[in-house]
Amino acid sequence: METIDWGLVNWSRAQFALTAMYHWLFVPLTLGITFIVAFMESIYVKTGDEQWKKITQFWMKVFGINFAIGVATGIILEFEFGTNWSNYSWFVGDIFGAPLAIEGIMAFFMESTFIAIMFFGWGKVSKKFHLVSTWLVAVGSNLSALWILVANGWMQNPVGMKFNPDTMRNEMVNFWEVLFNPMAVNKFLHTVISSYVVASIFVAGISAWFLLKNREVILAKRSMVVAVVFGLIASLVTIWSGDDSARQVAKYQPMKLAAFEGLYQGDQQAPLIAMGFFGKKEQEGPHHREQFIVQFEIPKALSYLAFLRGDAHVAGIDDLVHGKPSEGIPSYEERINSGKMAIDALAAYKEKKKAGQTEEAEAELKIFEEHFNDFGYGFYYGHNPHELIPNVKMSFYSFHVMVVLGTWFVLLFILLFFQIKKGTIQQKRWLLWATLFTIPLAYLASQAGWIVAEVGRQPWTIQNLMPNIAAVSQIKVQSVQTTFFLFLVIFTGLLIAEIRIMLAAIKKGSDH
Amino acid sequence: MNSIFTKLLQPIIFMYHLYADGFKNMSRMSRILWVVAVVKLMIMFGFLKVFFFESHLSQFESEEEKIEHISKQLTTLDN
Repeated sequence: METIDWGLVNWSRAQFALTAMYHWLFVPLTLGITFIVAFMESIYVKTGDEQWKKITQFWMKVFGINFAIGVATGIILEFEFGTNWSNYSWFVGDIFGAPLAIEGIMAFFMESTFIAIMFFGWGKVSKKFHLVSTWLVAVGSNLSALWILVANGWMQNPVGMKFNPDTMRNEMVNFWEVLFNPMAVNKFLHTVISSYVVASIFVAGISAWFLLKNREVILAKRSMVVAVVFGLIASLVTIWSGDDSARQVAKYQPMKLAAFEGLYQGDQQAPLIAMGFFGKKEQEGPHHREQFIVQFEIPKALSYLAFLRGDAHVAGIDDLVHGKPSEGIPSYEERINSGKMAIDALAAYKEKKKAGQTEEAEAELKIFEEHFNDFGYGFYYGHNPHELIPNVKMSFYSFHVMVVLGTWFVLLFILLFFQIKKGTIQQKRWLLWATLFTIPLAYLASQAGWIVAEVGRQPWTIQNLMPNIAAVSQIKVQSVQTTFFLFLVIFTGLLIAEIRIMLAAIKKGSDH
Repeated sequence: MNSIFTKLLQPIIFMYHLYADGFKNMSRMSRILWVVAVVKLMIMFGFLKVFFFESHLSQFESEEEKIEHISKQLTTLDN
């Protein structure tokens, strides 16, 4: 690694964040609305009621617009891996190869075959075959997400692999360990099911707009029923998977947990900050620490959330940086030294192997393997360990925005559910307006979730093994800046196109 | 033999007709969407990939050179 160019690292990160966030504007709706459409078509096939066919086709059209505009936006991320993150791409080796190849093949066959039947097959194939195709599109798009999230889960908690020092790549030794990595399983559940919430709010919100305009009343009421039932179940499961996620993070990424709770001093019986605001900054050497000006705490709740025990110790940022021997937490300084030993041993291994000193090379390899778990820390040798702390403010606010909005979604679905049951939904105009204005909030919560997951684990590209400063390619920062702004223009154009085409299609209603 | 071949070809012929009829009877909005999708893919693969996103490691010819480069990157600290 040459001298660290923070400009290059930060621009590369900004570019990846920009493309990932734009890509994620399209994905949640696709993941959820395909199931909503499949439920609607199932009711049509079961009842033979032509109204349900009309409803299905309307939402299928909305899905089609989102799909067409959003398709392949994720490919840009793969371009960036090869260009901006080549060290990382090489280092992950075949871990990503298998899941992404499965995803590619699956997406190609599913999308080219069953989406065609879904859109062009009405009246050309039997009702049942069409329904099966619609379900396969829903299941297929969600399975595509599985493989991507397995890859992401591995970056959060690398398992099932062995590093090969001769090829400088990680090699998969246990596919099932990678697939059933607790972080991957949880990430898949939480990401995908929260996407069902986004799609349900989208469908409920558009239906609310129709009811406010007194248009497409049957379509709106029936769509609202499907969206609210699906959304209520999904939002409750999202809370459950989020709760489980906190335990996984406490176990595998304690710094992320401390950052999104703004916890500097660890504690037994750690309180949960239900809501708080940062104000002052306390200078600590070259770094600063955030200070709450107001906070609302729930006693012992963080200990319980993280370890299911009210008296459990939750590590704070200070504990992780400076170490806490009483809790068996090593300091970052120790881990940096351990990582440095791994890096030096790897260099010595390669040198000695090249010189034909097999025995000495094996001895170095042994040292490397002993310290491999701290490999990434070694790149911070000579740096201030505080550089390993993520952006606390951004992590804290993103986490709390996500949680507050998630709670609002459950409440909204419950309110809608009871009004639908009572048959008074159309009279509750305030609730319909609230549902409509919740659409952007659903997207905000979804994006906030990704910010928590990705900003909270900084500076790691691969947890504990590879920080950003080691993962980035040594290319010209100007070329990253150029493509950053190119993407900004292209993706903003696509987003404007999507919103305009989508709004036009929705305004036309189900008859077009 | 001929009939087995025909049977095997049937799904492909069916898909061909499905696409052909679908494109023929497409609405204006669907046509716009296809144009947007195709233009986007052309920009991504024909412009961005070619001019801005060449693989950084493609400058090395052999696998050994790539390994050498990565080794240097991951074992040489800047201090």
